[in-house]
Amino acid sequence: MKTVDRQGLAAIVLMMPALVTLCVLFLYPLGYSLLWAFRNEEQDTWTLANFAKSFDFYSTDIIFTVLIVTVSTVLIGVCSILIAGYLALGENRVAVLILRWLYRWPLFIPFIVAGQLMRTFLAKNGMMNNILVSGGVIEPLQAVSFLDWRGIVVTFVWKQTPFVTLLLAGAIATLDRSTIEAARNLGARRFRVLLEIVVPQVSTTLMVGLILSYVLMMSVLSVPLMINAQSPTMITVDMAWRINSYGDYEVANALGFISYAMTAVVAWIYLRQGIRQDGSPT
Amino acid sequence: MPGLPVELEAVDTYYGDLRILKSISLSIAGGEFTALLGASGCGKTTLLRALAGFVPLRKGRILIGGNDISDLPPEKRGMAMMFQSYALWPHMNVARNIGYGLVLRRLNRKAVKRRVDEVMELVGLEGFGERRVTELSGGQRQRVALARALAINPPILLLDEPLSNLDARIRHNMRLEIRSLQKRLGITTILVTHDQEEALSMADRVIILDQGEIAQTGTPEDVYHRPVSPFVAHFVGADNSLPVHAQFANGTVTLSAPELDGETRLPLADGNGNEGVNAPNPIDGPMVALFHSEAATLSASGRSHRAEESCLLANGTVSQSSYLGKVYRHGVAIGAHEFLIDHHRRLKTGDDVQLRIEAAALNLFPKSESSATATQRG
Repeated sequence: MKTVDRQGLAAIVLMMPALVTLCVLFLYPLGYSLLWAFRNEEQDTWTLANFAKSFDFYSTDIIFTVLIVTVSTVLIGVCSILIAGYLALGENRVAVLILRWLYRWPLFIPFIVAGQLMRTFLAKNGMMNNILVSGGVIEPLQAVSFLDWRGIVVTFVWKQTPFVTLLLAGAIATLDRSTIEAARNLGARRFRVLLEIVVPQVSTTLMVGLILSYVLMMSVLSVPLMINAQSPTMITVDMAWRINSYGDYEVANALGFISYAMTAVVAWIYLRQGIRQDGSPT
Repeated sequence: MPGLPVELEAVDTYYGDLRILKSISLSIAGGEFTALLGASGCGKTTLLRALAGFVPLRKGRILIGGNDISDLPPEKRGMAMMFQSYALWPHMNVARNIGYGLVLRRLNRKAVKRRVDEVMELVGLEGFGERRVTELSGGQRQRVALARALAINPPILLLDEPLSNLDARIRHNMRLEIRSLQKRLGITTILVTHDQEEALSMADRVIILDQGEIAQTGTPEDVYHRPVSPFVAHFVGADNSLPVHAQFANGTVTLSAPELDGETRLPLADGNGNEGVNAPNPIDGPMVALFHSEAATLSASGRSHRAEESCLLANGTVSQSSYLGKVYRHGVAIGAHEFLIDHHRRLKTGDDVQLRIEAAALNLFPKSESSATATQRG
């Protein structure tokens, strides 16, 4: 009995630093922000006015944020499936080796640097248009800037695809290779094998990767700020604007609450998936 | 679809720089059941995978029904392979697993369902269509894998150790079932196995592979009773080995050894159905006689069979015994050698016995060949 007690105490002691850090640095500020979204400090009352103001001023930005992040998530999914699929099923060994070496690079680049890279790449007189013009693909007058919603999507997809690909490639590597060979043996081409045999078997990993990317993209400030600060823009820019320009923490908190609600939907899917997976015999 | 003939012409395959298959040539007739038998690492699975298109050929050709398929990708070869792990898709139910090859062939939904029901009945899986494959037992999974391979009506069926994951009872039943299905459907079937009993009981023809080369091709009886090399003899279980001195003359061989009483003259097998000692490489001088445990009989010493001309006799002592189920296996010490001999009842340790081996059960190989095999076997 004493041994059990001692073990329990040791477990609590080991857990305490993480728990205290979580409470002090995450749960307390989170709870404070969520509560203060319903506060009017001047009148010292609880109110929904901050939300009314948020929707009044920023409903376009809220929709814009949801669309940007959703489109980016879908594109990240497609790109990561294609890259991980080629890594697993590609028959040109040199191409596979090069791709395996190349695809991880954006993982090591911070969002703010990625934003700066894309500014120089996607601007009207940026590197992409210069290449297209010098290649004769477009005329100089046809060059347009991609530093708008497209720039944000491109940056998010470029930055997050390696992360999801890494997870996906790992999951594919653990598959029984003969399940892939069995499909090919019955007559399936590689692309069909990828979509009908490989992806369904790693769908949980894919979903986890996409949900984590979704949540991360919702919280990125630097990319929309550097690439598309004009209206409409993402909620994070609005929050920064309310705080830095007006010191308006109430509306900023209400916007935070709204973005938290949006990520909570996908977090709920993630948690449900985790519970189902643990409870499932497979 | 009737089974198509398969032809391999001087096939070479490599893993990196390691040569796995060494100029393999063989012909398999349409509808024939062939077993590729060999120890781990001998190249039998590589040969099957080369046929299926998963291992590229460095040299040689593979012809199916006279057409060269050496450069075709796996999905265009039209063969059906049953994998050792069964390779069922866990995200599909039984019916979808079985019907996948038919969907790929663009059959309409009704035709797919009809064919899936047909093959499920064929392999005894009626009513299992909606079950998840993860809910099935090993034997049931094996049937699903077989049904999936048969559903597309393949001209050639490749079986990669399909029974190795099953317990003994189911394995014996499945041997019979697969064999009778194959006969009924007439599919050219190539089975890879390391289990000699499986190969001998199922196949029309057995091909024994040794280090990427064909060691012997023949009927199960040929391979078992008339091995062409010490390697094959050992591989099919002729593990008792007696060094002898041999003298060949006029269709007979005279054997002498310190363990034998004097000289024994035995008839040689002549290939025309006359039974006798199997000596594929008859050279006068030191040789090794190999025989199976069940090919010899034991009797109490003194009851001499000396008058019989068609058998080898030796006297020894029982050193140990163990029960195998149907028979007792005895260790019999004769001189410096110990032999494992089956007998229907247990003999006491220390009993003097006489060992009797029919001429037709003896395989003679030059001592040099036998030593080389022993070195290979480690």
